[in-house]
Amino acid sequence: MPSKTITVTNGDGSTKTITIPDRSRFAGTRTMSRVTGGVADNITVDRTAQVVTSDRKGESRPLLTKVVGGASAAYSLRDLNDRAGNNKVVRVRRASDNHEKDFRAKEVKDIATWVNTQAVLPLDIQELESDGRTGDVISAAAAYSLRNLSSTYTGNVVVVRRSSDDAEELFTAAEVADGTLTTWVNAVETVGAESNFSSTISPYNLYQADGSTASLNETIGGETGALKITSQGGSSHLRYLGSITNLSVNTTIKISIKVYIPSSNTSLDGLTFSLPNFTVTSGQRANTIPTDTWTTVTVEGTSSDLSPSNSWRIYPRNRSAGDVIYLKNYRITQDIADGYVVIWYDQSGNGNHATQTTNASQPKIVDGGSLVTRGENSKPSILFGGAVDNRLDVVGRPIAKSVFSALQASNTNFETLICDTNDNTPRLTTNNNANNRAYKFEGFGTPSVNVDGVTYNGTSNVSSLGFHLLGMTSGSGSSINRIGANPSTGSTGNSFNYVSELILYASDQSDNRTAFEANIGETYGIDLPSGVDTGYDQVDGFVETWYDQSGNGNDATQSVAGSQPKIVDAGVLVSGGIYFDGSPSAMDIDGLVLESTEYYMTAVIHLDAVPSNSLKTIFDCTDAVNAGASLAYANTSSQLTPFMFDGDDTSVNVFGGGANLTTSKTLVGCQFKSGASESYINGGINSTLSNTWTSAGTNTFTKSTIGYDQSTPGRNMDGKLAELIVYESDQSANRAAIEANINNQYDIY
Amino acid sequence: MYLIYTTEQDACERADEEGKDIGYTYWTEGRGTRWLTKPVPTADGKWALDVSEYELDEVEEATVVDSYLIPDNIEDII
Repeated sequence: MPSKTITVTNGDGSTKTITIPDRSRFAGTRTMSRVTGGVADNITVDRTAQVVTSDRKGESRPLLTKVVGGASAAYSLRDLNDRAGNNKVVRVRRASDNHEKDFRAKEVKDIATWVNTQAVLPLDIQELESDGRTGDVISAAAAYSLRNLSSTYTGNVVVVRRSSDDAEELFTAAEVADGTLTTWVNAVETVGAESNFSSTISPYNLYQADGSTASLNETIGGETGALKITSQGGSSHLRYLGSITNLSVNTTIKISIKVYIPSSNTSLDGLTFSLPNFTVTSGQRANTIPTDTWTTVTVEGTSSDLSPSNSWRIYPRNRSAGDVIYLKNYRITQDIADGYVVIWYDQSGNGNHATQTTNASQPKIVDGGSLVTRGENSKPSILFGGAVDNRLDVVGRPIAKSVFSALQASNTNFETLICDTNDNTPRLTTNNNANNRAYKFEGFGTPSVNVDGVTYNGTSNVSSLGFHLLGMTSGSGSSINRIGANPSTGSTGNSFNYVSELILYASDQSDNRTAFEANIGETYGIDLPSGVDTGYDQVDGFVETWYDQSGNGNDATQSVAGSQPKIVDAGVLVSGGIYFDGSPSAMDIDGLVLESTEYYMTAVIHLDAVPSNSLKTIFDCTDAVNAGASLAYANTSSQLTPFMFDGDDTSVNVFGGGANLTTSKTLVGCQFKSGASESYINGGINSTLSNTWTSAGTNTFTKSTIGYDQSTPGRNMDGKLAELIVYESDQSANRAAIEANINNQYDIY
Repeated sequence: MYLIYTTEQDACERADEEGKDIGYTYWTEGRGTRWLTKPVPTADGKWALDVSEYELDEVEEATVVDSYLIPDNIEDII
């Protein structure tokens, strides 16, 4: 069990900290002396971990918390601490787009699915050939999104007009995502004010209440125009806010004030915002302020009820009578500006940009100061609906035979995604048939339709689908000239409420549907039953970090892509562990330096090949001749041949003899212990070593390694490694319990 | 194929450049994979960078070498 530190409260109220040592350090039966009433006697304590035989196969109890703790480093794809598997065990890089993600033990089964996720952007997708998606890139007629839809597109995705001054600006996808667009829209604040206070109550002014005196236009710290408050002590000392009647509830309010506190104060050292009904989202209510310098203090949050606004206060903290505080530039603002889409750029290369020059008809991208977002991943979206439904015109009239879109309807009838304003067909809308607002496809013949990757039943209520993915391929299609509604058609005058992405193809894309949908679904967090396109299910996944579960933070990492071991091979989770392929696969454990006289190491391996007389490394931190140990094999014949260096001399202490290793799944281990070292295969003693030593030596290395020897190139492991645990202690007594736990998990022997 | 650099810093800068172009998460998220390959020391005190999978410019393509001298390491005596 791991060591524990507990705090004990004594009878006098004082406390003391007691550390209960890790029992694994004292494994086995020990006899200790004690003196009772002046008489010495002995007590016997058995700290040996018990072999557990009751766990279900493949579901061993957590080794480190339930059997033996105290490991220096521990790596596995199972959770060695939590039976529920909630601890992260591995960070994986997928080869398709180099995206990385952490996985918990209980999520390991999902790694292959994530690795195979279709990461190829819609406009980069190639035709499916017999050997995969190796054909021509599939050209779109028009492609609109607020992200880049191809790896080569770096242009602007949108032109935005802001409501505050009607200025217009172009933005790239990156600028939409990183807040640049929103900041620009909000740059001209339309609500709020700044005050340096006055002696009368007015909006945004503080005024004096009980328990203090105040004077205006004071000079301090190199600045003029400050309000000086002199405390008379007591709890009544406060300042009120006049009124905040033109702010909106549930919208972010930004409050800032400049503060100067002289060091001559007795105790006053800061200020506290007292803001009833206010939920702080950034900054804090109570603030300690540096003395003798002007400091700006900010807090942000929302309020559900601004009616008692005159009770908003600022309290000087820890005030004593005679203490002073200086305030100025009290600023309360709220971003409420809207941003409207003037141009939604076509990324297909066909120049079919969607535009709206009439302000009153432009859809929104920033609403009340906040970027419009939709979907589980809160991706940017465009709001077409509202009191007046808006639209964008496409003069180039792209042909829409296949349509893919991430979108959301509202609750009105006949909401139009795209249409031809000349004769209203083709027109892709919702339908008011029986008021269920099902999809309706005018002018597309009898299309094949999928919603969230599932064949559409033709009757489901689009509003109830929420944010969803529409995929339509039709036998007949024709050109469209609008995204949104055609108001001249009366009841069909509503636009689809939110549209995040819209891609039109002039051809039937039935064969490629899952490829487009898989990428769009991944982007917007839409769960698709199809999940993986058949052209993209053979992706490799590599381990960037194998997390240490010992609690010592000795994570094994590899930041060089070309040297990372594999965990998903051609789309399939590697069976039997993490795959070190014998050439460059290797991981480093920075900071783990072995300098001990005793080591216990154990590993579950599944080798591809076992060479003869060619040393290979599973784990290593040997410093040439000075210190450290290595779990290695094939130094002699094909045997398990761990070795270590001690501080007594420069001779290597190396195992030999015993059975040859095979390419079957095997539990290997060794216990280095002066005069009584042992190596183990599948639970049994494989060989012994009688060398003795008294000191550990000094290791000049700064890391340990998995899969290779940092001293000697070419000793790379070739096979899978499922679990590796390293103790810098004698675990001879606990070994049976440890190995039984591991064997039960992996069913090795 | 290798590019040979006089200093480790120069070699790392080229490795960084490739890593950025590829879009590894070290450059986009601040952690994780940084390089496709990283430089290794040569026997003559220089640094070799494996650029077999790199996008090379014309100058680089003209200066790549097929091999380099591996230095004598201080190896485990075993």
